[in-house]
Amino acid sequence: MKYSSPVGVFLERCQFFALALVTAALITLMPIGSLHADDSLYRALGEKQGLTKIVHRLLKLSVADPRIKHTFADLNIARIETRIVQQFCELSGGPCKYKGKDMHKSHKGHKINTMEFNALVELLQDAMDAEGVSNRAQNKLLALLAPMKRDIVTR
Amino acid sequence: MTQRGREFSISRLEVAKGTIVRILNDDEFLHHAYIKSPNFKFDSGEIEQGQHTDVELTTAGTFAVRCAIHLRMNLEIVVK
Repeated sequence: MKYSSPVGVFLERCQFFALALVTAALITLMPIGSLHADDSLYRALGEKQGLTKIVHRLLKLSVADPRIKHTFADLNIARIETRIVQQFCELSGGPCKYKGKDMHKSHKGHKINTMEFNALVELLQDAMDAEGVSNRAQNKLLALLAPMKRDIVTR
Repeated sequence: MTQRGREFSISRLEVAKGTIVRILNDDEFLHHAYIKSPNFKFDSGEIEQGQHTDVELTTAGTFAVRCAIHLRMNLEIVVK
């Protein structure tokens, strides 16, 4: 509501300061942890160092796996590793920002099928097992990745 | 020139200094184009399917244009 009289303007200012006061009080009373996203999965995956090891192992297994190695032909594996680490880090609540294109744009043209997608998931589980990630954390990450299947699998 | 079938449409190009070269991603895949030379640098960022990037060649020399996504893509540009 807009006021035109001096009393009205005073009331408007009072409302503004009251709102600012309530906001400040809410922020002060809020537990510090709730100001940040939940990073428990990020920590369970070993943070940036752990994720880098998982993704490095995943890609090493992938380029050697006869079921999917052809999908990595010609590709810059180091760049893919950087992107996947960024993505897993952000997805699991870590402090990183994924800087690549979305899954549909980045996989378009690669004609990935369900069998290949499932093989990659299997290798990711193998990589997480090898790096000592708990089943609970593995399942949480896989649940976050599962919706991407519809953008990655195109045939 | 275009990027298609994970290749540049030509492998060598000679142009005059100041020429603007347009690189069109006419492929199914996401592409990229960069030049990393001591006296000339260019980075297109990722080029989506159907999109293009323009590079103004302001320095004379011979430059390799590469795609950071597909390592075998290589184009040589000679700027005179």
